[in-house]
Amino acid sequence: MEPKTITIEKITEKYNNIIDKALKFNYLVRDSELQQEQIDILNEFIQEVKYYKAQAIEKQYEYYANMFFHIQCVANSFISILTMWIELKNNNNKNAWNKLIDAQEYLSVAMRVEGNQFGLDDLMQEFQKIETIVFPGWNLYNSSGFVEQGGKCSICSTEYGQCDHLEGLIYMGRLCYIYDTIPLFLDHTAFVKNPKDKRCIIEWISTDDGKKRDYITWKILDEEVESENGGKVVGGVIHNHNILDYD
Amino acid sequence: MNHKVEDSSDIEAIINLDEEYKNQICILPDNVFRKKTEEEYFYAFSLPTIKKVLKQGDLKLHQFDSLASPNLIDQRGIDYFAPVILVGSMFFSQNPEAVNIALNLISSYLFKIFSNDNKAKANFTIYARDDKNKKTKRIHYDGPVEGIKDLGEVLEKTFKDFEG
Repeated sequence: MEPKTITIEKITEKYNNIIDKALKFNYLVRDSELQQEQIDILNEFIQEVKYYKAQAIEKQYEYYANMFFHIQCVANSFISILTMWIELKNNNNKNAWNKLIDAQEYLSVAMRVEGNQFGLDDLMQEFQKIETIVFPGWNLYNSSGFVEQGGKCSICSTEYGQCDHLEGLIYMGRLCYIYDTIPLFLDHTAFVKNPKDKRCIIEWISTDDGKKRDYITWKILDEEVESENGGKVVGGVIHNHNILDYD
Repeated sequence: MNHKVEDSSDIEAIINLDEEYKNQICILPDNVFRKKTEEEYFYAFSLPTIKKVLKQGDLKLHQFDSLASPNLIDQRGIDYFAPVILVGSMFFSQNPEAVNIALNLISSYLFKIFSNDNKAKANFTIYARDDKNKKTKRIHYDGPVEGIKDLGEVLEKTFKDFEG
Protein backbone atom coordinates (compact mmCIF):
# COMPACT_ATOMS: atom_id res chain seq x y z
CA MET A 1 0.00 0.00 0.00
CA GLU A 2 1.32 3.45 -0.91
CA PRO A 3 2.08 5.61 2.14
CA LYS A 4 -0.15 8.66 2.56
CA THR A 5 1.54 11.94 1.76
CA ILE A 6 0.79 15.47 2.89
CA THR A 7 2.36 18.71 1.70
CA ILE A 8 3.88 21.40 3.93
CA GLU A 9 1.22 23.76 2.58
CA LYS A 10 -1.56 21.45 3.78
CA ILE A 11 0.04 21.13 7.22
CA THR A 12 0.39 24.91 7.61
CA GLU A 13 -3.17 25.39 6.38
CA LYS A 14 -4.42 22.96 9.02
CA TYR A 15 -2.26 24.71 11.65
CA ASN A 16 -3.66 28.14 10.76
CA ASN A 17 -7.24 26.84 10.92
CA ILE A 18 -6.70 25.19 14.32
CA ILE A 19 -5.05 28.31 15.78
CA ASP A 20 -7.74 30.62 14.33
CA LYS A 21 -10.40 28.49 15.98
CA ALA A 22 -8.54 28.28 19.29
CA LEU A 23 -8.23 32.08 19.32
CA LYS A 24 -12.02 32.33 19.39
CA PHE A 25 -11.99 30.53 22.74
CA ASN A 26 -9.25 32.66 24.30
CA TYR A 27 -11.69 34.44 26.63
CA LEU A 28 -12.78 33.84 30.21
CA VAL A 29 -16.47 33.75 29.30
CA ARG A 30 -16.21 30.94 26.75
CA ASP A 31 -17.68 27.64 27.85
CA SER A 32 -15.15 25.39 29.60
CA GLU A 33 -16.26 22.25 27.77
CA LEU A 34 -15.77 23.97 24.43
CA GLN A 35 -12.38 25.23 25.55
CA GLN A 36 -11.47 21.66 26.57
CA GLU A 37 -12.53 20.46 23.10
CA GLN A 38 -10.05 22.91 21.58
CA ILE A 39 -7.34 21.67 23.94
CA ASP A 40 -8.02 18.09 22.80
CA ILE A 41 -7.80 19.14 19.15
CA LEU A 42 -4.52 20.98 19.81
CA ASN A 43 -3.08 18.00 21.69
CA GLU A 44 -3.94 15.67 18.84
CA PHE A 45 -2.44 18.10 16.35
CA ILE A 46 0.81 18.30 18.35
CA GLN A 47 1.18 14.52 18.13
CA GLU A 48 0.68 14.78 14.37
CA VAL A 49 3.25 17.60 14.10
CA LYS A 50 5.76 15.63 16.16
CA TYR A 51 5.36 12.77 13.69
CA TYR A 52 6.20 15.14 10.81
CA LYS A 53 9.07 16.58 12.84
CA ALA A 54 10.50 13.09 13.38
CA GLN A 55 10.52 12.59 9.62
CA ALA A 56 12.28 15.93 9.07
CA ILE A 57 14.86 14.98 11.71
CA GLU A 58 15.38 11.58 10.09
CA LYS A 59 16.09 13.29 6.77
CA GLN A 60 18.19 15.96 8.53
CA TYR A 61 16.00 18.80 7.20
CA GLU A 62 16.73 21.26 9.99
CA TYR A 63 14.64 24.09 8.52
CA TYR A 64 11.49 21.95 8.54
CA ALA A 65 12.30 20.32 11.88
CA ASN A 66 12.53 23.81 13.38
CA MET A 67 9.37 24.91 11.62
CA PHE A 68 7.46 21.97 13.13
CA PHE A 69 8.99 22.78 16.52
CA HIS A 70 7.68 26.34 16.14
CA ILE A 71 4.18 24.99 15.39
CA GLN A 72 4.46 22.60 18.36
CA CYS A 73 5.36 25.48 20.72
CA VAL A 74 2.58 27.78 19.48
CA ALA A 75 0.02 24.96 19.81
CA ASN A 76 1.30 24.21 23.32
CA SER A 77 1.04 27.90 24.14
CA PHE A 78 -2.66 27.83 23.18
CA ILE A 79 -3.25 24.70 25.25
CA SER A 80 -1.73 26.52 28.23
CA ILE A 81 -3.75 29.70 27.79
CA LEU A 82 -7.04 27.83 27.32
CA THR A 83 -6.22 25.70 30.37
CA MET A 84 -5.58 28.93 32.29
CA TRP A 85 -9.15 30.13 31.62
CA ILE A 86 -10.61 26.76 32.68
CA GLU A 87 -8.49 26.70 35.85
CA LEU A 88 -9.61 30.23 36.73
CA LYS A 89 -13.25 29.20 36.44
CA ASN A 90 -12.50 26.21 38.67
CA ASN A 91 -10.88 28.49 41.28
CA ASN A 92 -7.47 26.87 40.73
CA ASN A 93 -5.83 30.26 40.64
CA LYS A 94 -2.25 29.28 41.26
CA ASN A 95 -2.34 26.67 38.53
CA ALA A 96 -4.01 29.22 36.25
CA TRP A 97 -1.09 31.61 36.85
CA ASN A 98 1.41 28.84 36.08
CA LYS A 99 -0.42 28.07 32.84
CA LEU A 100 -0.24 31.75 31.84
CA ILE A 101 3.54 31.70 32.35
CA ASP A 102 3.76 28.39 30.43
CA ALA A 103 1.88 30.03 27.55
CA GLN A 104 4.31 32.97 27.51
CA GLU A 105 7.34 30.68 27.73
CA TYR A 106 6.18 28.47 24.85
CA LEU A 107 5.57 31.55 22.75
CA SER A 108 8.96 33.02 23.63
CA VAL A 109 10.71 29.80 22.52
CA ALA A 110 8.57 29.61 19.34
CA MET A 111 9.75 33.14 18.48
CA ARG A 112 13.39 31.99 18.58
CA VAL A 113 12.82 29.96 15.41
CA GLU A 114 14.12 32.16 12.64
CA GLY A 115 11.60 33.57 10.19
CA ASN A 116 8.50 32.36 12.02
CA GLN A 117 7.44 35.28 14.17
CA PHE A 118 4.44 36.47 12.18
CA GLY A 119 1.81 37.85 14.55
CA LEU A 120 3.39 36.39 17.66
CA ASP A 121 4.59 39.73 19.04
CA ASP A 122 0.97 40.89 19.40
CA LEU A 123 -0.04 37.61 20.97
CA MET A 124 2.83 37.83 23.45
CA GLN A 125 1.77 41.35 24.43
CA GLU A 126 -1.76 40.10 24.95
CA PHE A 127 -0.54 37.25 27.17
CA GLN A 128 1.62 39.71 29.13
CA LYS A 129 -1.35 42.04 29.69
CA ILE A 130 -3.26 39.15 31.33
CA GLU A 131 -0.70 39.36 34.17
CA THR A 132 -2.13 42.71 35.25
CA ILE A 133 -5.69 42.58 33.96
CA VAL A 134 -6.77 39.15 35.20
CA PHE A 135 -4.18 38.81 37.99
CA PRO A 136 -3.08 41.57 40.40
CA GLY A 137 0.19 42.33 38.62
CA TRP A 138 2.61 41.37 41.36
CA ASN A 139 5.70 43.49 41.90
CA LEU A 140 7.62 40.94 43.92
CA TYR A 141 8.62 37.39 43.13
CA ASN A 142 11.00 34.95 44.73
CA SER A 143 14.40 34.46 43.19
CA SER A 144 16.70 31.82 44.54
CA GLY A 145 20.37 31.03 44.11
CA PHE A 146 20.88 27.27 44.15
CA VAL A 147 24.41 25.92 43.98
CA GLU A 148 24.48 22.89 41.69
CA GLN A 149 26.86 20.66 39.81
CA GLY A 150 26.86 18.88 36.47
CA GLY A 151 23.74 18.61 34.37
CA LYS A 152 23.01 16.95 31.04
CA CYS A 153 22.31 18.37 27.61
CA SER A 154 18.73 17.81 26.38
CA ILE A 155 19.94 17.44 22.79
CA CYS A 156 22.59 14.74 23.15
CA SER A 157 22.08 13.54 26.78
CA THR A 158 25.81 13.83 27.54
CA GLU A 159 27.34 16.00 30.26
CA TYR A 160 26.39 19.56 29.28
CA GLY A 161 29.96 20.81 29.67
CA GLN A 162 31.29 18.17 27.27
CA CYS A 163 29.17 18.79 24.15
CA ASP A 164 28.92 21.76 21.78
CA HIS A 165 25.19 22.52 22.18
CA LEU A 166 24.29 25.86 23.75
CA GLU A 167 21.53 26.28 26.31
CA GLY A 168 18.55 28.17 24.93
CA LEU A 169 19.21 27.54 21.23
CA ILE A 170 17.15 25.29 18.94
CA TYR A 171 18.79 22.34 17.22
CA MET A 172 16.96 20.21 14.67
CA GLY A 173 13.52 20.94 16.11
CA ARG A 174 14.45 20.68 19.78
CA LEU A 175 15.40 23.20 22.45
CA CYS A 176 18.70 22.80 24.26
CA TYR A 177 18.27 22.95 28.01
CA ILE A 178 20.19 21.57 30.96
CA TYR A 179 18.60 18.86 33.09
CA ASP A 180 19.62 16.48 35.88
CA THR A 181 21.84 18.93 37.72
CA ILE A 182 22.90 17.84 41.19
CA PRO A 183 21.62 20.35 43.77
CA LEU A 184 24.14 21.00 46.54
CA PHE A 185 22.72 23.80 48.65
CA LEU A 186 20.63 26.95 48.60
CA ASP A 187 22.91 29.99 48.75
CA HIS A 188 20.25 32.67 49.02
CA THR A 189 16.73 33.74 48.21
CA ALA A 190 15.69 37.24 47.32
CA PHE A 191 12.63 39.22 46.36
CA VAL A 192 12.94 40.58 42.83
CA LYS A 193 10.74 42.52 40.47
CA ASN A 194 11.78 40.70 37.30
CA PRO A 195 12.39 37.03 38.06
CA LYS A 196 13.61 34.47 35.55
CA ASP A 197 10.69 32.30 36.49
CA LYS A 198 7.41 34.05 37.25
CA ARG A 199 6.03 30.82 38.67
CA CYS A 200 8.05 31.64 41.79
CA ILE A 201 5.30 33.69 43.36
CA ILE A 202 4.51 34.70 46.90
CA GLU A 203 1.60 32.47 47.97
CA TRP A 204 0.69 33.99 51.31
CA ILE A 205 1.65 36.76 53.72
CA SER A 206 1.00 37.02 57.44
CA THR A 207 -1.59 39.41 58.80
CA ASP A 208 -1.07 41.64 61.87
CA ASP A 209 -3.03 39.17 63.98
CA GLY A 210 -0.94 36.17 62.95
CA LYS A 211 -3.07 34.61 60.23
CA LYS A 212 -2.16 33.67 56.70
CA ARG A 213 -3.56 35.78 53.88
CA ASP A 214 -3.74 34.12 50.48
CA TYR A 215 -1.68 36.42 48.25
CA ILE A 216 -3.72 35.54 45.15
CA THR A 217 -7.29 35.68 46.43
CA TRP A 218 -6.53 38.03 49.38
CA LYS A 219 -8.68 35.77 51.53
CA ILE A 220 -7.64 35.23 55.16
CA LEU A 221 -7.01 31.53 55.70
CA ASP A 222 -7.80 29.64 58.84
CA GLU A 223 -4.12 29.01 59.54
CA GLU A 224 -1.93 30.53 62.24
CA VAL A 225 1.57 31.75 61.46
CA GLU A 226 4.28 32.62 63.97
CA SER A 227 6.60 35.58 63.55
CA GLU A 228 9.83 35.48 65.58
CA ASN A 229 10.47 39.23 65.67
CA GLY A 230 7.08 40.68 64.93
CA GLY A 231 7.77 41.17 61.23
CA LYS A 232 5.80 39.96 58.25
CA VAL A 233 6.12 36.31 57.26
CA VAL A 234 5.70 35.20 53.68
CA GLY A 235 5.47 31.82 52.01
CA GLY A 236 5.89 31.01 48.38
CA VAL A 237 7.50 29.08 45.58
CA ILE A 238 11.28 29.42 45.41
CA HIS A 239 12.09 26.97 42.65
CA ASN A 240 10.25 25.30 39.83
CA HIS A 241 11.59 22.10 38.29
CA ASN A 242 8.89 21.68 35.69
CA ILE A 243 10.26 21.35 32.14
CA LEU A 244 7.87 22.10 29.31
CA ASP A 245 7.42 20.08 26.11
CA TYR A 246 10.53 20.99 24.14
CA ASP A 247 11.40 17.59 22.64
CA MET B 1 25.44 54.56 31.55
CA ASN B 2 25.17 50.86 32.32
CA HIS B 3 28.67 50.27 33.64
CA LYS B 4 30.69 51.37 36.63
CA VAL B 5 34.48 51.32 36.99
CA GLU B 6 35.98 51.33 40.45
CA ASP B 7 39.25 50.50 42.20
CA SER B 8 39.48 47.04 43.64
CA SER B 9 42.11 45.89 46.08
CA ASP B 10 40.48 42.52 46.81
CA ILE B 11 42.08 40.92 43.81
CA GLU B 12 45.61 41.24 45.23
CA ALA B 13 44.79 38.69 47.91
CA ILE B 14 44.15 35.97 45.34
CA ILE B 15 46.32 36.96 42.41
CA ASN B 16 49.40 35.02 43.52
CA LEU B 17 47.34 31.86 43.73
CA ASP B 18 47.00 31.75 39.99
CA GLU B 19 49.53 33.32 37.64
CA GLU B 20 47.83 31.81 34.60
CA TYR B 21 45.68 34.92 34.19
CA LYS B 22 48.74 36.52 32.54
CA ASN B 23 48.40 34.12 29.60
CA GLN B 24 44.64 33.68 29.23
CA ILE B 25 41.31 35.24 30.09
CA CYS B 26 40.72 33.92 33.60
CA ILE B 27 37.32 33.06 35.07
CA LEU B 28 36.90 33.70 38.77
CA PRO B 29 34.40 32.10 41.13
CA ASP B 30 31.57 34.48 42.04
CA ASN B 31 32.50 34.12 45.71
CA VAL B 32 36.31 34.07 45.32
CA PHE B 33 36.84 36.79 47.94
CA ARG B 34 34.56 35.20 50.51
CA LYS B 35 35.68 31.56 50.41
CA LYS B 36 39.06 29.90 50.74
CA THR B 37 38.88 26.41 49.24
CA GLU B 38 38.07 25.07 45.79
CA GLU B 39 35.19 23.05 47.21
CA GLU B 40 33.55 26.20 48.54
CA TYR B 41 33.84 28.20 45.31
CA PHE B 42 30.97 28.57 42.91
CA TYR B 43 30.79 30.11 39.45
CA ALA B 44 27.93 31.62 37.48
CA PHE B 45 25.67 28.91 36.05
CA SER B 46 26.55 30.24 32.60
CA LEU B 47 30.20 29.11 32.92
CA PRO B 48 30.00 25.95 30.77
CA THR B 49 27.89 27.77 28.16
CA ILE B 50 30.25 30.73 27.93
CA LYS B 51 33.21 28.35 27.63
CA LYS B 52 31.49 26.72 24.64
CA VAL B 53 30.57 30.08 23.10
CA LEU B 54 34.19 31.21 23.27
CA LYS B 55 35.39 27.88 21.88
CA GLN B 56 33.62 28.93 18.65
CA GLY B 57 36.18 31.72 18.38
CA ASP B 58 39.06 29.39 19.35
CA LEU B 59 39.31 31.23 22.63
CA LYS B 60 40.13 29.38 25.79
CA LEU B 61 39.25 30.43 29.27
CA HIS B 62 41.31 29.60 32.30
CA GLN B 63 39.23 28.46 35.25
CA PHE B 64 40.56 29.68 38.59
CA ASP B 65 40.34 26.28 40.30
CA SER B 66 41.15 22.86 38.95
CA LEU B 67 37.78 21.19 39.52
CA ALA B 68 36.51 19.26 36.50
CA SER B 69 32.92 19.76 37.59
CA PRO B 70 32.82 23.11 39.38
CA ASN B 71 29.96 24.27 41.55
CA LEU B 72 27.59 26.58 39.69
CA ILE B 73 25.07 29.00 41.12
CA ASP B 74 21.76 29.16 39.30
CA GLN B 75 20.45 32.66 40.03
CA ARG B 76 16.78 32.67 39.18
CA GLY B 77 16.56 36.29 38.11
CA ILE B 78 15.72 37.49 34.63
CA ASP B 79 19.25 38.94 34.35
CA TYR B 80 21.84 36.85 32.56
CA PHE B 81 24.73 36.41 34.97
CA ALA B 82 27.94 36.00 33.03
CA PRO B 83 30.96 34.51 34.79
CA VAL B 84 33.33 36.94 36.50
CA ILE B 85 36.46 37.40 34.42
CA LEU B 86 39.95 38.69 35.09
CA VAL B 87 42.08 40.20 32.34
CA GLY B 88 45.72 41.08 32.94
CA SER B 89 47.42 44.01 31.21
CA MET B 90 50.13 41.76 29.77
CA PHE B 91 47.56 39.44 28.18
CA PHE B 92 45.50 42.39 26.93
CA SER B 93 48.48 44.14 25.32
CA GLN B 94 49.59 40.96 23.57
CA ASN B 95 46.05 39.87 22.57
CA PRO B 96 44.09 43.10 22.11
CA GLU B 97 41.49 41.46 19.88
CA ALA B 98 40.87 38.39 22.05
CA VAL B 99 38.72 40.19 24.61
CA ASN B 100 36.72 41.97 21.90
CA ILE B 101 36.09 38.71 20.07
CA ALA B 102 35.01 37.11 23.36
CA LEU B 103 32.60 39.94 24.16
CA ASN B 104 31.14 39.91 20.65
CA LEU B 105 30.58 36.15 20.78
CA ILE B 106 28.87 36.38 24.16
CA SER B 107 26.78 39.34 23.01
CA SER B 108 25.55 37.62 19.84
CA TYR B 109 24.73 34.41 21.72
CA LEU B 110 22.67 36.35 24.27
CA PHE B 111 20.97 38.32 21.51
CA LYS B 112 19.76 35.06 19.94
CA ILE B 113 18.25 33.94 23.22
CA PHE B 114 16.77 37.22 24.34
CA SER B 115 15.82 38.77 20.98
CA ASN B 116 12.13 38.78 21.93
CA ASP B 117 12.56 39.73 25.56
CA ASN B 118 12.94 43.47 25.95
CA LYS B 119 13.33 43.20 29.74
CA ALA B 120 16.36 40.92 29.58
CA LYS B 121 19.52 42.35 31.06
CA ALA B 122 23.03 41.05 31.43
CA ASN B 123 25.11 41.25 34.54
CA PHE B 124 28.83 41.12 33.89
CA THR B 125 31.90 41.81 36.06
CA ILE B 126 35.40 42.16 34.62
CA TYR B 127 38.52 42.74 36.71
CA ALA B 128 41.26 44.56 34.81
CA ARG B 129 44.65 44.20 36.45
CA ASP B 130 47.70 46.29 35.71
CA ASP B 131 50.48 43.73 36.13
CA LYS B 132 53.23 46.35 36.36
CA ASN B 133 51.78 48.54 39.10
CA LYS B 134 49.74 45.76 40.73
CA LYS B 135 46.54 47.78 40.58
CA THR B 136 43.11 46.47 39.70
CA LYS B 137 39.87 48.04 38.59
CA ARG B 138 36.48 46.37 38.70
CA ILE B 139 34.21 47.01 35.74
CA HIS B 140 30.62 46.12 36.48
CA TYR B 141 28.02 46.06 33.71
CA ASP B 142 24.30 45.84 34.35
CA GLY B 143 22.26 46.61 31.24
CA PRO B 144 20.83 45.40 27.93
CA VAL B 145 22.51 42.31 26.48
CA GLU B 146 23.59 44.10 23.31
CA GLY B 147 25.70 46.50 25.41
CA ILE B 148 28.16 43.75 26.38
CA LYS B 149 30.09 44.05 23.14
CA ASP B 150 30.96 47.67 24.00
CA LEU B 151 32.78 46.62 27.17
CA GLY B 152 35.92 46.05 25.08
CA GLU B 153 36.28 49.82 24.69
CA VAL B 154 35.72 50.33 28.42
CA LEU B 155 38.42 47.76 29.15
CA GLU B 156 40.83 49.40 26.73
CA LYS B 157 40.25 52.80 28.31
CA THR B 158 40.72 51.30 31.78
CA PHE B 159 44.13 49.89 30.81
CA LYS B 160 45.10 53.23 29.23
CA ASP B 161 44.14 55.02 32.44
CA PHE B 162 46.52 52.76 34.35
CA GLU B 163 49.34 54.06 32.19
CA GLY B 164 48.31 57.54 33.25
